[in-house]
Amino acid sequence: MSENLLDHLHDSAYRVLESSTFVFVDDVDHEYIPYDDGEDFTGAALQYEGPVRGEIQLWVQNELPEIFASNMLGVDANDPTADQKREDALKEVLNMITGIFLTEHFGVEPVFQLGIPQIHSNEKFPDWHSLKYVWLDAEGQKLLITHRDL
Amino acid sequence: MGYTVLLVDDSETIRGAMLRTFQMAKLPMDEVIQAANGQEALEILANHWVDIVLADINMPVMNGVDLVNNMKANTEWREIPVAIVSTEGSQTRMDQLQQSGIAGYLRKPCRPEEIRDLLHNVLGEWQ
Repeated sequence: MSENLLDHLHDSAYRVLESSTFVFVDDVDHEYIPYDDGEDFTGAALQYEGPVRGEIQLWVQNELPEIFASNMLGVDANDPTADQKREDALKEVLNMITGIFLTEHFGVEPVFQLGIPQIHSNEKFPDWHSLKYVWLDAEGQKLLITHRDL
Repeated sequence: MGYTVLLVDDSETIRGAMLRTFQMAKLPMDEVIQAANGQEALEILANHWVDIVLADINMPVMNGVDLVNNMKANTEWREIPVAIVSTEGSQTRMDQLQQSGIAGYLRKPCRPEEIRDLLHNVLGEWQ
């Protein structure tokens, strides 16, 4: 179950990142991840509820939201609303990852309600070692996806 | 002649991404009208003719399922095709929507060619 969950998180993230944000994604060797304080990371969290409840968090190094917004929306750095659009893009990437993950992991029969994605500053960077997690690399930037049951 | 599309999604980001997708798919659009939920969509339909409605499911105020049901219960709107574009992949939900008479279903994230194919299938080739 746990291995399946990680596979499904990994595959869902890959699919969304490559097809929606148009970034190249690579696996990362988890043994050599130096990030424990999330100093230059921004995160988003989304809870789901159905036959079971859980939460998925997506943490990305700070250049990635700009890349997402640029690739998804054509936003450039001079746009006065660029900061908001970067956060919105991050939320939508998490929303899509969660939607794909739920059917990958639980099948197509259950109906789940998704919550509203919440943006987190790096003060809430999780103790990812204690969670189910996947690290990926996108355009040279690191990206962490975690899952926990609620 | 191009399409007039009513795009219904509570996320401005997704609406922006869909507009970008329309451009990438080189779809001929006369007008893309935007609504943030099903209630806003019904208010727009009261004053605008559209060729197709593309709607999300999970939205505040009025969700996509209720939007479809309201349109199908209205004699002026029931012939307007509605396609759902959602992250949701539940077969139970899709079965409900098929029974309600939706014209198509696309799962987010969707590629430009999937949007183009959906519009071709529902509306036919443009001139």
